[in-house]
Amino acid sequence: MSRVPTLALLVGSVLLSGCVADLRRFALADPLWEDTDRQHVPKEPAQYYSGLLADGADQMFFRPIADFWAFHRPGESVNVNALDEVVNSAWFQNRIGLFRLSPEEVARAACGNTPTLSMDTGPWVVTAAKPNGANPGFFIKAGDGHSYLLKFDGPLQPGRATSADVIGSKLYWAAGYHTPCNEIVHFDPKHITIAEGATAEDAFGEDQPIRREDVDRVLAMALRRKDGLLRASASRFVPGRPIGPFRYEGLRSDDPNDAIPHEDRRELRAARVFGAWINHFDSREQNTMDVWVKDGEREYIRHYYLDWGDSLGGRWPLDGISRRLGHSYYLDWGHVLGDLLTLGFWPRPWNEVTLNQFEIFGYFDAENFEPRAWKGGYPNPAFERLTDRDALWAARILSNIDEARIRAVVKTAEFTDPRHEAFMVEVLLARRQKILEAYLRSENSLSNFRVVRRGHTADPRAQSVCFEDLALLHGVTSLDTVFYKMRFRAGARLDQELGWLQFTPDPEHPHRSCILLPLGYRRPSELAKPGAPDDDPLRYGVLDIFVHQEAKVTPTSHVELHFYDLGPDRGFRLVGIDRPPHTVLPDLY
Amino acid sequence: MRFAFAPSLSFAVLFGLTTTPPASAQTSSSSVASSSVASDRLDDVLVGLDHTGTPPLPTSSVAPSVFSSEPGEERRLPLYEGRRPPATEATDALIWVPRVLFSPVWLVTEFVLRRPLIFAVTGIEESQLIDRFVDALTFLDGDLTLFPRFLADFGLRPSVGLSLLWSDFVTERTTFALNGSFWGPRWLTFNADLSMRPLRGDSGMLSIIPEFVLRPDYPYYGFGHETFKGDEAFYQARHARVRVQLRAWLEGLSRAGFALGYGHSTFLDEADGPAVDLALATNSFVEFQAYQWLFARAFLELDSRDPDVEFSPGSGVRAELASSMGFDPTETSRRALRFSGELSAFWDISSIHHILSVALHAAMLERLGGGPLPVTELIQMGGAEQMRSFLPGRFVGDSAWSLAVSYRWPVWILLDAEVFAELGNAHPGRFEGFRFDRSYLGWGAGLRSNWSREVILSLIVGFGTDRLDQSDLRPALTRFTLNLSRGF
Repeated sequence: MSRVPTLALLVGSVLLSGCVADLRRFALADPLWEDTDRQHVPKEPAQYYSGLLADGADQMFFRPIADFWAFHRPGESVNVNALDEVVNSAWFQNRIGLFRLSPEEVARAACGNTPTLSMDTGPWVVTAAKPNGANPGFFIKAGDGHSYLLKFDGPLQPGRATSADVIGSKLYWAAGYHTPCNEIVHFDPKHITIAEGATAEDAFGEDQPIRREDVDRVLAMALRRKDGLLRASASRFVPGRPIGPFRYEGLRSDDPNDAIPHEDRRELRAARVFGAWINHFDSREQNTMDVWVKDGEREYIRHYYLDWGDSLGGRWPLDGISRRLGHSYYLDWGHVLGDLLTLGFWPRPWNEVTLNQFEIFGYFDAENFEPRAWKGGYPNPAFERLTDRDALWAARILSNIDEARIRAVVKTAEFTDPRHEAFMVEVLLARRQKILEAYLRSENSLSNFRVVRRGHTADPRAQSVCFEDLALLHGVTSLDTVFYKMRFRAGARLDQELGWLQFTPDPEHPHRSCILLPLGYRRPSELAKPGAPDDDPLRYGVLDIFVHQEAKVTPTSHVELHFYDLGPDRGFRLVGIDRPPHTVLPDLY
Repeated sequence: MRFAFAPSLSFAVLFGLTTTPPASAQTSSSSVASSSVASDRLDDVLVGLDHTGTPPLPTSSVAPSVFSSEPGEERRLPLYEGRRPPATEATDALIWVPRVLFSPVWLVTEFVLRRPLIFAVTGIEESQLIDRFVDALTFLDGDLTLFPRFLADFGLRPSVGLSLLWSDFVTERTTFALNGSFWGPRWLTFNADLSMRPLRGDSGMLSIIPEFVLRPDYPYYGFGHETFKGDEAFYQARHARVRVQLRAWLEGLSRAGFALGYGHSTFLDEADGPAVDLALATNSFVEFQAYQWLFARAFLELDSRDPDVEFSPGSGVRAELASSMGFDPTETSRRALRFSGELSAFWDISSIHHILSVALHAAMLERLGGGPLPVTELIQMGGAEQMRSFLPGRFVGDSAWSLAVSYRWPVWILLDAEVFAELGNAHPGRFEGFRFDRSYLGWGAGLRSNWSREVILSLIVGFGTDRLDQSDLRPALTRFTLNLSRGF
């Protein structure tokens, strides 16, 4: 055979392989919830230094150029279990996405039940200083035995940076990220003392002794209350030894637990959605931290998020930059080229924004917020690989951070003006709603699938599949147009249709619905031979739910629930949830 | 379309039965009672039902101390989804075709460009080299700074140099700036600016500005309206000048000023490229191996635009008028009176600094003494101000005019773009031989920094035609300039 036909055959077979239906059955097993990335690492990893200029230049210039020629393909996140959820790991801990956290718990966040930093426990001793960043601060050792980083507001937006640092930490913690305990503190400047030998790095990295006048100079920028107390955010040191930030791409070569490229971790990709919510434009790697922790006999790296002081309307001295934050990168080649070629006539949101009625919150608003178009300060390799499924996962978590929890969190910021607190709640709610609209309208809005026996009169063994429609729950779509079409299929190739169902949500409780299983006269277990093992492929069935949010023939989205049918007595077992990126309709739909 | 309904369909939902707690409606360890979520959430109404078919959730929102392997055991990547990975798609395979084809480019961009540069930048940053470099260029607590400058103007020699700015020089109301550039021993420029603010409210500035220029690449195309690209020649000259200038800030962006100056110029013989044959060229060169020049100049700039937005000031009109009287103290027949004026209109068509402008410029001189004048004291156009698509000194005459339209808009926080078109020419006498079809057309586009009037980074690509009555409107020349400078 000559080479040409061989090549043609090869290419043809490759092309055809994409056309064959890919039958991927979930295992009959409980979903994975705990990752294996907290294994003991025998050798402590090295410190990683992340340069602000280097990272910025890499993300804005060099990586895009190199990536252009690498022909990366988009792909789904790796660390996602059978239920389309992120597994717990050294990076992430499922919290409000799966559990009912009270407003008080969310407000306490990483601080848990530990007492708030107080002046009652003794003086706060400055041990070092944080010279860089928009808002300088001190490292202190408090009488409660903990060390803290104290940060202050600048004169430009008094009260905002400290509030943002606290609110951001609590919202991220609720979402599932590892964060420090950040709280607002008010203190008497006299309560600050300086430890003997305390030093701070100067502009050239040289340690210089901290003098009282250095402390006073920083404290002079702090917001002062009427009673003379100064305001700061106190970030408690997390247990372990910091070894530098984590990267948003690649692997850490000296960490054997680090086996998933960071850009393919769902929680890192989806941090873009949470960043968009609070406009955490400074979501670069320098605002993360790897910590070498000791957990029993094990030592490994835990990965933290840090520093939200830019969020909730942080401004730059240049108004042109402030207007663009969240809408465009600091240097956005696409926008520059677009504005150049269109002579500046392309409508841009930064031309529309206006300063808030409360100027301390800068341009933080909901009116000009476009969640899908949101951008951080400069490109983030994980954010860039966010898929709709990742974003939908984040939106599902966000849907559980409701008004009561947002109010509780905002209250911890201890705004001096109650109007500021009301404003912040209002804007956070409005931006959250925009995110929900952005993703629940176009992606599959069904969630919280439960398989229950509800005491069916004809057969008490009968099971129902119940679910919530988050789009209806949050008013993203109208009950007037929503309906669902369902199909149950099974068989060796999962192409044997056992039943269809179409229904509209019950107006009494439109956001939650239940349907009785099976659909149709037969159940999948009847296709299998008697005595077939529980994981026999013929016991396998898929319930396709086509969601119609609009009065159209084609559905808005589609979700697949995968079951094993263990027979009428033991019932159906939900083993997997698939939210395909593209809906493939049956031939006769 | 097919609607098929299962006979057993029933979506009547039976809520509120209570038996045993559901596996799914879990709360975290301390939150059971404190939850305030609306009670019509699904898990609330399913409480107590048999959830056997529902997959279990994690046991707690608190990280467990349970691990899937023993300490020391190597990490095994689990099968996260609990099923095999997706099959390879055709595009997964085909994507390797461009990957292989362009792998050399990728290897270069990734391993020759990206990684070494980032490694270097990180090292520079970690060792605070940038801070040290800036510190090395900054003195007296930031009052004195050094600043690099460069200029590339294709067709002429490039130059590199250094600027120095000393604020609060001697007194708080005095600044001193010094610029130096060079490109070889025959291309040298130095200028300085010692400025004082003698008036209250900083409404005026008195400056002393000495300057030395030695260049072998002054272009010369001839005198008057009939000059051609093919006649391009160069001459070398050395100028030493000093002027004292008083500028007063009027309302808004309006200014008025007066200057007195003295200069000494010498024409030399080592020009770049085809040299002007001094004997055959116009009388602009004849008789002048050297000359001196004393002058007095007054100017008035009236501007109705918004002074609060200095670099993109919006809509308005601007009028500039200037007049100067100069003479050679060694030969009084060399005397000239110059006039120039420019009328500009600016329209910010969007109120967000998309500015359309039109400007009419005219300049002329009167030869008062009857004697010939050196070329460097004649009316010249081209370069940075008028007829920007042409080299500086491209047009030389007793009079000159230009009509320019431009559109300027922001493309980035620190950068404006501009497109422009210009028509103009120089003439002998008082616009003798003026006809529109005897003018030159130029057009181009540029980018210009907008963060400062002092530090300017600009890039201009311009195209120019031959004289219109002898041109088919195709560009006969291209001008490209890249300039980083500290202006005064």
